[in-house]
Amino acid sequence: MNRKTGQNSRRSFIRNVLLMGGAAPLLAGVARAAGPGLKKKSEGRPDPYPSQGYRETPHIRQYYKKLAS
Amino acid sequence: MVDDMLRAHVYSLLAALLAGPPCSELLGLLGKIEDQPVLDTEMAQAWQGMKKAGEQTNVARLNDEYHRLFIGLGRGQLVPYGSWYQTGSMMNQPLARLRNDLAVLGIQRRSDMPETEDHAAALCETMAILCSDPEGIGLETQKAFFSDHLKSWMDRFFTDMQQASTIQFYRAVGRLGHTFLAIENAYLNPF
Repeated sequence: MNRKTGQNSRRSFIRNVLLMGGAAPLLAGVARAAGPGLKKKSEGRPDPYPSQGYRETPHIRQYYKKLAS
Repeated sequence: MVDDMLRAHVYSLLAALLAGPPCSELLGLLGKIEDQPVLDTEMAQAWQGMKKAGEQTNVARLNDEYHRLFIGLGRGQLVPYGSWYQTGSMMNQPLARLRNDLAVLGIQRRSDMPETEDHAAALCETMAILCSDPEGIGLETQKAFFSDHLKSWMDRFFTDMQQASTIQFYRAVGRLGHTFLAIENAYLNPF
């Protein structure tokens, strides 16, 4: 079995598994109901109403940079 | 790819269930799960469990339960953050590594999103983005992200949820998450 055939058979396997139990109508409607909290950067637009909640300040950014290094 | 979109939808559903108390629209969606005469797989049982749990509750009750489970007074029964599960403290190195990887993938938190990126809902949402990306993020990248940021702790989180919750609904969410992650693990790590 080559790599592509293997991936296709895995995809077909997971489709069958996920749809067991009558979930197809639910999954068809999920994409419309779930609101994203994350975004691809290319979708970004300036935020006219910045949140008053948690913000990443330069100090915090520096802290994480240090942790990651 | 249709099959990867199905995976993305399950991740999106889990993200919606974990991000806040379910709304009536989401409960209505769970009611669309079709009755099945035979439940011979874990996944089929998990879906039917979600349907039954959704029918036996309401938005107000779920709002109370969500706050008791995840927020509480000072702290809820469960802390749904990767850093907490992996290190025992919030906002630690796993979050720093996650932010690095998200930056490489070109994914960032919306400015109006109060939770950090290692919240279970945010990680499920990230996987949904990776599975459904039209630019074609490959299985190898999905596997690496899953292994680095979900695999080591999220199953424990869903197992804890099944034990901590006092009502059927979040026990059913825990079971769905646990079952789906096992399938994902087998799918992304076939050999």
